[in-house]
Amino acid sequence: MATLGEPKVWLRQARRDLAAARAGNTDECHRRYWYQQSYEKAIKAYVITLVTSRNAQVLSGFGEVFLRHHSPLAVAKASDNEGLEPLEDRLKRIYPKTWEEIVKTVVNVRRLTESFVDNLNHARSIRKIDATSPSFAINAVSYRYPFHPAGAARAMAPADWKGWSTYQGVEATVQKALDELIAGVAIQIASYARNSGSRP
Amino acid sequence: MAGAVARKTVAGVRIPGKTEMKKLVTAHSRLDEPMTAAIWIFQDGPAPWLVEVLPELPDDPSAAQPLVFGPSNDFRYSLHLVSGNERSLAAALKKDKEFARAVALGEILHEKGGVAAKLVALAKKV
Repeated sequence: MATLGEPKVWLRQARRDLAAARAGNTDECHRRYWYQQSYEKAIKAYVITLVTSRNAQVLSGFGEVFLRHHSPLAVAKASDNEGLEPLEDRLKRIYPKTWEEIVKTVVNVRRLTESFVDNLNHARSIRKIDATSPSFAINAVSYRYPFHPAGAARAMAPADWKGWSTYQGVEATVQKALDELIAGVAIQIASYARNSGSRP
Repeated sequence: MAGAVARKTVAGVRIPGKTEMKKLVTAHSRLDEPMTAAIWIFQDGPAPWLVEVLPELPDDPSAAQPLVFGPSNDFRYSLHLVSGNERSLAAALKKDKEFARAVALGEILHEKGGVAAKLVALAKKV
């Protein structure tokens, strides 16, 4: 049975990203970016434990779509991907024989992952972080690049923006939500290791 | 023991009961992706199988093929998930007699607009 790799490696990086944010002595925009990255990697660690397949091409397609996307829960509507080639078109082109199964895998993985998230105490906070995925759109809030807040004529550096609590959530709550998410994923990884016979 | 839940096992492996399957289906029915039916099949088998009708999935000639998911925090069993839009699942029933037989004997756990009943009726005719 083929798998997507090591979920514990993704979770380790999620922990380190959160630790980097907590280390302090940095602008809020940088901390907020690390929170988003911590979330993204924790969710991907979780997803890897869910998906097993005998079809290596399906895993490859799934990995390309899901593991390379910033916003795991927002992916899988096989539609426009930030102005790039629409997801379904890209899959049909690269995987003409298995694209339907890849789409089905992505959709169902997203649903099972949402179900896991919705069971967390801080589900709403996690969903909010997922909705703040990095974007190329010039008016969209950006963790890393100057953007035009609310369509303003002048661009603003993320380091100068004061709307992070509204955008991503109150910082203390975000930290608790990520602690809970990482703990939940760690339990999932242990369960995955037991059931697959692999070492955690 | 009062309040104890009967544990079903097959060959020593614990399998989910109806309460656990219903809880899973209820959680799925609340997600953003619309789901119009859920049918539990192979109820006494060694691993749970669930057929879910998701109208927004594209047509799929292999709709009867399950995706197999490992146990998760909220559902502690490996899950064989068969999903597709209604048209693809109906076509799968006509093509795959074993799948049709399983659906005919299946238990409807979620139903919207009669979709599940239609599929079960079709499965019984095949």
